[in-house]
This record gives sequence, C-alpha cells and structure tokens, in this order.
Amino acid sequence: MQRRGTVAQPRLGLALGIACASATLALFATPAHAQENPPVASVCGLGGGATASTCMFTANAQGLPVSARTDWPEDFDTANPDPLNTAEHELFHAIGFTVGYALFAAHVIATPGAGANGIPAGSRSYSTNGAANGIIMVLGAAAGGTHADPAATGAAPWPATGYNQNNDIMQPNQVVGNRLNANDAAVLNNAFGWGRTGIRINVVNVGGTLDAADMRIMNNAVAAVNGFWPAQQNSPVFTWSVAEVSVPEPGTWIMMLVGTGLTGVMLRRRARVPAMV
Amino acid sequence: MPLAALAVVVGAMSTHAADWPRASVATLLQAANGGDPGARLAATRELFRRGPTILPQLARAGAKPMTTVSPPRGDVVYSLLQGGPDAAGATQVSFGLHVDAQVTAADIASMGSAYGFRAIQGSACRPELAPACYVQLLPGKRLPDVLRALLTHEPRVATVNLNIVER
Repeated sequence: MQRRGTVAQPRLGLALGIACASATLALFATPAHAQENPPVASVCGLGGGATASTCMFTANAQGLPVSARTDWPEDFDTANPDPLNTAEHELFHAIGFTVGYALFAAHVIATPGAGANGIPAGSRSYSTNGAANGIIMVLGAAAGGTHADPAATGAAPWPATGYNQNNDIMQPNQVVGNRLNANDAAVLNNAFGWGRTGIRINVVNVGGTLDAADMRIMNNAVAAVNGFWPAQQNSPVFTWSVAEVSVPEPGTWIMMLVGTGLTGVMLRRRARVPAMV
Repeated sequence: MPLAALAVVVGAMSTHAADWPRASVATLLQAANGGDPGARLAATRELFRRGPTILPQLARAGAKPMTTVSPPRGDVVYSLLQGGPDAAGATQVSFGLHVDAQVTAADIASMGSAYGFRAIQGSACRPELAPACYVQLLPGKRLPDVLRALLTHEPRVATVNLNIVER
C-alpha cells in the first residue's frame, strides 16, 4: 500500500502539473500580432460574452464627466463585427449616458403607464423637465435605465417621442450598423450642456494589446462625438482610458477550476502520507 | 498623519461624542453628511450602533440607497444597514474613494494597507474629483466590510461610491 502510494502520487502530480500549466498558458496566451504589451486584467468586470464594459466614472465639482475607463476583449478591431458601433456606444456611456452621473440620473423618470398598457414594469425614460411631456428617449429597465429601449417605436403605447429607437446606438442588443445621431446627442446635451461648451476628449491607452488599428477606431468614435459638439479652446477635458483585456473562455475557466480542485486533492493526499508511514 | 492633526481630529470627535447617543436620527444623518470629519465619523458610528431598526427614520430624514458617483455618506450607511450595498450594475471588487482636499496618494496607499485595498494600476488620485480615485479590494476582502470600516474609522474619507459598470 505504502509503495503503491508513493509511486502513484508523482504520476498524479505530473498530470496535474501539465493540466495547470496548460490552463495557465491558455489564460495568458495572446495572438502573435499582439505581443508588444502584456495583457491586463479587466477592471470593469468584462466577461460573459460582453463586447465591452465601461466603469470608473468620475465627475468634477460641477457634475461634469471628467474620466472613465472602457475594457475591450481581445482582439477588438477584428473580432468585433462593427467595432465603431461598439466604440461609439461605450464612449457615449463614458461621457454621460449613465446613472453614475447625477446630472443624467436626475432626468431619469418612471415611464408613464409602466407596468400596464403594454409598457413593461420598471420602464424608465429620459425627460428634460421631469415630466411626461419632456420625454425625449425611452430607456430600458435594466441597470437603472442606461440604454435606449429598442421596443419604443414612437407609436402607442409608448410616450410620444416620435422616435423609433430600434436602431439607436444606445440600445443594448444590435451591435452592427448603428451610429450616434441627433436624438442621442439631445439627451447628453440637455444633461451636461455639451452644445454650449463643446468637449475635448483625450484617449489614453492604459494597457493591454490595443494597437494602432484599434486606436484609430477609438479616435473615430471621438470624431463622431465632436461632430455634434466640436472641441473649443476652453472646452472641458474628458479622459477616456481604454484597455484591451484578456478574457478567458468558459472552457479555460472550467479547466482552471478542475486543475485547482485536483491540486487540492493531491495536497490532501500528500498531507496524509506521513501519518500512514 | 502628523500628531498635531491627529490630536485635532481626536479632540473634535471627543467634543461631539457625548451628544450622539441622545441625538435624533435626522441630526445624526445631517452630521454624517457634513464636512466636519470628527462629527461625521462619530455620527456614522452611532447610526451603525443603532442598527437596521432606524431604516424607516433614515428614509424619512432623506436617506436612500446609494447611487451615482457622489452618494452622500448617509446613503452609504443606509445601504449598508439594508444589508447591501446592492451592487447590481457595479463591480464587487472595487469602489470609489472621496477624500478631503489635503489627502495625498501616499495617504491613500497607507489607508489601503490598513483597510484592505490598493490603487488600480494606471489610475491617479485627484482629491478634487468625485471620486478622487477608484481602488481595488485585496483578495479575501468583502466590499461591505471594507466600506463600513472606512466610514467608521477613517476621518479623511468623506464618502465612498460603487464602481458602476455600463455595457
């Protein structure tokens, strides 16, 4: 028994070592074209198949957005079916389309009739004056109302915004073909007065494997925003930090968990051996 | 922190401490949301000491679940007493730190060692912003525990906020 045990454990250890090593390699492996910078971990909790996530929102004393960070999975420009769509969507979150900013959140109201008449419970809307007649965009219920509701067609039973939101850049589902438009701009113009001040956006690559092609897309998204609100000499400065992060596939996570579990079993077995001797 | 500054803080706390057990919830909430570091610390401790039974009184006094990047300290207390914060739509492993104007990056690093967090790589701290910076919990730390410890022991922290995530 003792002899068989001492022979079997090194074999088990070797197998577990190979499993853990391969899982680790899979986790940190990067495409050959993207070896210039080491991969970075997601700060914004990117995962679950999301195409991007934005977090770390900050504001100044006047409540104007000052900075935010967006994490993209590898490889942003080639794996994404429409990277400019995603970049414009996330940049718009970054510069204001979030309950994180009080000046935006103060305009989010319960959609009149929510929970009845075909309007989902929890539906919210963006209103310029806090009342039904000031609604300029219908928002979804998720996450406190930070996306345009694609079901709001401008027709009854929705509030009469007169705007079909199915193809809006800020709706959460369709990630191909949509671009920023005047309706999107109207929301943030009302909340922050970007039309009066303009906005100067600095894009900062904070790490990971974003390359020149990726950064061109980010800058095109900035150009789309500045198309509505050109940067002026004294415009407020907004810093958009971007990073391409390593997001393990589900299979990799499973392999890592199995490897970790097996390592634990091995350590328990090893701990028992001296007692048997 | 220089000894003189520490003495001022402790002195301020002791001046007010005797009054807090008799203060109304509305008075405590006002002090917690105020700019006096000693008073907001002592008032916060007293709110936590009274426990979740005061939630209705807190709500009547204007407290609500914490939201946005600038939640009043009383809203954070309200969320923690509710058993939260409800971090749906926010990460559980990082949060925003609002500090007094004179606090430096070194001060924040030393707070991190004491309470269980560290700065996020590539993120600078600017006390004039809301929040000054975002920090990441150290392994094994729970968000509610760290937030409560900061609000009841660290006079230089004005309030905290969740790291809200948009996708």
